Amino acid sequence: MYVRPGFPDASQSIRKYLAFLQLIYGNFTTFVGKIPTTRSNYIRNMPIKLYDSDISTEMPLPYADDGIQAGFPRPAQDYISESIDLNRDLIKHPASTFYGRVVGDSMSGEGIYEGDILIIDKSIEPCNGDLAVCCLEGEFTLKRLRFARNNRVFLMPSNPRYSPIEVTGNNDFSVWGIVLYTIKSNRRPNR
Amino acid sequence: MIGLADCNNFFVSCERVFRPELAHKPVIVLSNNDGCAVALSNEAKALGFKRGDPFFKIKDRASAAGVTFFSGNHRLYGDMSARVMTTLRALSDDIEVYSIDEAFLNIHSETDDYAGLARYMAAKVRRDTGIPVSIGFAPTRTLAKIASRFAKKYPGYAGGCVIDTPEKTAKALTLTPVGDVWGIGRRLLKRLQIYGINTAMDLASLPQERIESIFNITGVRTWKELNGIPSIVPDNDSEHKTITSSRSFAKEVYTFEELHKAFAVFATIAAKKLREQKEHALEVEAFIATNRFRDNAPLYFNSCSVTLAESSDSTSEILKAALKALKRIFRPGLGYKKAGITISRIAHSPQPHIFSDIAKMEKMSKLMLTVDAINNSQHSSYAVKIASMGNGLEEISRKDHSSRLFTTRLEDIIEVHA
Repeated sequence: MYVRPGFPDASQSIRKYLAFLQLIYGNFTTFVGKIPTTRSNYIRNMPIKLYDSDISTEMPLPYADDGIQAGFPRPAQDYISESIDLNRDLIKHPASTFYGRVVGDSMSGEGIYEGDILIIDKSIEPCNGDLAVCCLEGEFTLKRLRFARNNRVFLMPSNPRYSPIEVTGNNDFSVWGIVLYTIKSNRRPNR
Repeated sequence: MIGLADCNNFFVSCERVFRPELAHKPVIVLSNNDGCAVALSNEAKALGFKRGDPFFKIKDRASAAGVTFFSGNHRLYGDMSARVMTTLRALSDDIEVYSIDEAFLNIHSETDDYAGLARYMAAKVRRDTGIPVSIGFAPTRTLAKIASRFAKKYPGYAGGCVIDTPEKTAKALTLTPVGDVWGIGRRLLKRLQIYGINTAMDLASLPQERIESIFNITGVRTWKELNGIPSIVPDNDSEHKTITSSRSFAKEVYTFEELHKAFAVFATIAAKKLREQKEHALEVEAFIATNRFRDNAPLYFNSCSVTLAESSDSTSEILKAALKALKRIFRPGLGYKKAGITISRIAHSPQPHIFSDIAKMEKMSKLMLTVDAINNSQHSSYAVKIASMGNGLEEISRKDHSSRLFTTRLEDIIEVHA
């Protein structure tokens, strides 16, 4: 239903209508005026405000899929609207969450292989031991951070064939984001 | 106090988030079809390149100087802008998004350290999104703009600058050329220069009677704002009064059929925007132009408006009107380089007239809602489209240097070397 606003005082238009009738049928306002004490007349003369219905927001309500039955309620109906939404449950900061794809095998020691998808949150403060996407000399590199004594910083691979990298003041280095989750396909490609 | 957050060289910064090797290197982002430079890194500006330089003129010299070019990747910039705005919204009580890279910030709770707040916000946006921003706080919007310019210009401010005392205001205004003041356009600037007004301070220190006798209401408002009296409230309605969708083509377009296709794209974009704003338009204007950079080609520009029988937000109605207008201005044999539509006389609710078929209108609006819902849920923005659109502007647009959709398409995400 669409309600047009703009009639703040409906009694006014009723009065106009009465004046119109009066023109045609003669004076009968005395009749209207004589019984103002009755409740129905009072209500009729009350200013009425009409508003647009606001449908700009949504409020989904759970409903019972298998109908409403008389008798004892089924306990399972309490859980109808629940579901696991990984976007909602894993991504706490959508504005600062980005995705990346692994190239190379230096982190294979902890099961991170080429092609895996990284969920990276840039808003997280880097901590010792975090898996981080770093910018080293203008290139993205995936390593674990190790903050050692005397403010020394190491980038730790987990594949023994690679050696730790020490970051010094001479390096162009920054932590781009912290990897919160790794997504991997457990099926072999090309099948 | 009101704040203004302004992203530094926004398009360039978006590209750099995903190409860290380009930090401190000259970068230029080009307009549609690689026409001209629209965003430059500070390093590119230092080489003497300017906004608006035509690409074909600067291409060789810039490439030799090591400039990296990007075609405008507006879906990426739009997504990054949304991230910046979300982060700013979480840090302030209320924000007004002013453009893709600017927002006014309202802070209701009083603080005695606005400079610290501005620096904290700038650092947080920088870390969360990778986009550098400059934030200015001041008693008025115009002064906040000036404060953010200072925050951008001088690294000592660490991205946050506050103009809150008469001394700071005087100093900032003295250092600001009057042409850099928000709201001073080119024409007003010329008049100001005739009166010998060169800095923002010159303007602010004129007596009010004199300002009122020389300038119109906008000029008076700017003067008040410079003197710390809030006078500008962004008017949300006026900025949406028209919607334009236009493109310049990569190569000249000669046939009506090709223009028809382009107009289907324009109508789709404009009508979708209209529906997003829950508005209806009553007038559609079409315009076409030949290449003004070609010396030997005939110069032709024309436009024509068509009024709809009833206000509409439907893609097909708007396209129908646009094509009617196009038919009147189309001249065969000419090579068109630019075209577009502007829809205007926009109102919030549909305005049916006495002969309107209400049932048909409602059916149409339901159909358009469904189309939008499907397109919003798909990878491509045009999963459901008007048939005449074909593959749209792909054949007649050029994007030789486009970066990937790093944030919105899984195939395009960054590669991280392990």
